[in-house]
Amino acid sequence: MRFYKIKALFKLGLEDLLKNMNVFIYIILPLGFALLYSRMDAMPKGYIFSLCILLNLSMVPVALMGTIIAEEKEKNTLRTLILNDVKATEILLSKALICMLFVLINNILIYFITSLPINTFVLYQLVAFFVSCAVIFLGAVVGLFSKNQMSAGLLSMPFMLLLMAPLFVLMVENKVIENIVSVLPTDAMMEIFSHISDSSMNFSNVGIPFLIITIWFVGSIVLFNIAYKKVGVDN
Amino acid sequence: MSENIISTDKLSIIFGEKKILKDITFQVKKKEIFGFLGPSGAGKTTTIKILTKQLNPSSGSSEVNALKDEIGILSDNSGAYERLTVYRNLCFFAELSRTDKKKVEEILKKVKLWEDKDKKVKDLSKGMKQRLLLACAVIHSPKLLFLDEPTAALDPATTEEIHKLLLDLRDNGTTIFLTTHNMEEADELCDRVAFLNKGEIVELGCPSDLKLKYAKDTVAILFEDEMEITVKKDMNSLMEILKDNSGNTIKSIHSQEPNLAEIFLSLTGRELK
Ligand SMILES: Nc1ncnc2c1ncn2[C@@H]1O[C@H](COP(=O)(O)OP(=O)(O)OP(=O)(O)O)[C@@H](O)[C@H]1O
Ligand SMILES: [Mg+2]
Repeated sequence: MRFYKIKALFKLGLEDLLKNMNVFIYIILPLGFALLYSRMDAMPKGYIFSLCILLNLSMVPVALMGTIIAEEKEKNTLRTLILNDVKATEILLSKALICMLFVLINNILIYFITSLPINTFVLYQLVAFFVSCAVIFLGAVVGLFSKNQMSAGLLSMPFMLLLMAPLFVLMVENKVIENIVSVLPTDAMMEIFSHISDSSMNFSNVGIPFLIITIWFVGSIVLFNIAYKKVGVDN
Repeated sequence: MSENIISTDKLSIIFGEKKILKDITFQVKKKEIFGFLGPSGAGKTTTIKILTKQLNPSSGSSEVNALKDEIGILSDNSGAYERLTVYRNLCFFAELSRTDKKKVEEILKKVKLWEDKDKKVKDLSKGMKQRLLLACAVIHSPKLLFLDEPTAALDPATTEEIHKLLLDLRDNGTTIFLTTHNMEEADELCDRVAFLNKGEIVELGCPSDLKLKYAKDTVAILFEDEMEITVKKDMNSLMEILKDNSGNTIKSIHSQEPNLAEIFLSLTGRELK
């Protein structure tokens, strides 16, 4: 990997994204929700924060990442780049950096919009960032398997639903579903969040959630590698 | 160092059951424009894909004596960033190859896009977009340039501009491998051409040599009264015609050179469309 190539790709990708209203909505939506819900006094702040972070984590690193990779294929720019001595890994990394930038900005903005106490800021952000890193590989997998933006949108649906499932599970009373949800990285994240918020965090109560997130992290890297070997970038 | 920049040995490729390329062997010399001519479906794009490592041949081998960053490619489906301007796109390719930004202006002027540099790519006409893609392919001054039908579907004026640019590049040391089914283009540009038909090279050489080789065995005699007679080159036939028209005056006698399209037709029985 060559730094000057990644830098050029990153700058161009960022500029292009800011001009692309169709996908910019993925970035705006979680913020919009945060602004909306933070005006409702009935909901606890910690819950609004978790909700918006979940939305952010399924929108930006999954749907956005998948879509911007797929668009490069759809418009033939990906092939053009590869023929111009750019490596597939350099393209993917630049896209991941762009998405991580927006995930991070959103996570921070959501924190301030929901006006959580400043003393827990770093802890919340670190946990959210850790989960984002795991999830972005899923977005890359969506990108690898999609030929165009349309199919990327479709393919990211199940991933988004899965990541947001901890929100829906509150509405259904079903042991099986609850069990499935309890091993999701986003559910683990919410559990850690709740311990941070009531200052009850210790090794015994967040150990398992951290383990779950770590397993997802490793799992999505493995999944990405399998997908990359199987379909490559430009199939 | 050999003077060949590309050499292939019995390249073949099979798609499914069909053999698309059959034992293709040729060499491209440094600093020449090599034309790969053939009708649609002959296997031109496939050959470029093999040479640029996008496809593996089923058998045979090819050698390209240029590093990855010394190669430029304009494929039949190259793309640019539609939402960004002409200038931004080219600057990006300059950055990718660590080329001085000054070159961007120089090249945009050469492809006659300087005036349109602030237009978004999605607002360009087909010919303008093609010129931009060509600019992107040559911004890093490649040693070897692959062009897949660079002027297909362009108007004559734009085609002329592109031809000038290509000759200029060649004179500055770039080797160009170009595919086309436009025989006039090949005649004007190429130092050597290969005729590809149904996956086989049926003839290879420099256009003027080929024209001599396939020169017709007839001459045309044009008389003062505008009558033209085509006659075999041998003296007996010639004398006969002259005797028959002894009262007439000759305006000119000229040999009839075939053009590349006619040579291709006589070799394959196929039109080049
Ligand atoms: N990936 C592929 N799988 C199967 N067949 C293919 C594939 N790529 C090309 N072909 C076939 O190979 C033949 C040659 O194709 P190619 O694109 O090389 O032609 P071409 O000479 O570039 O034609 P054109 O002038 O239309 O661009 C065609 O019959 C095409 O259908
Ligand atoms: Mg072709």
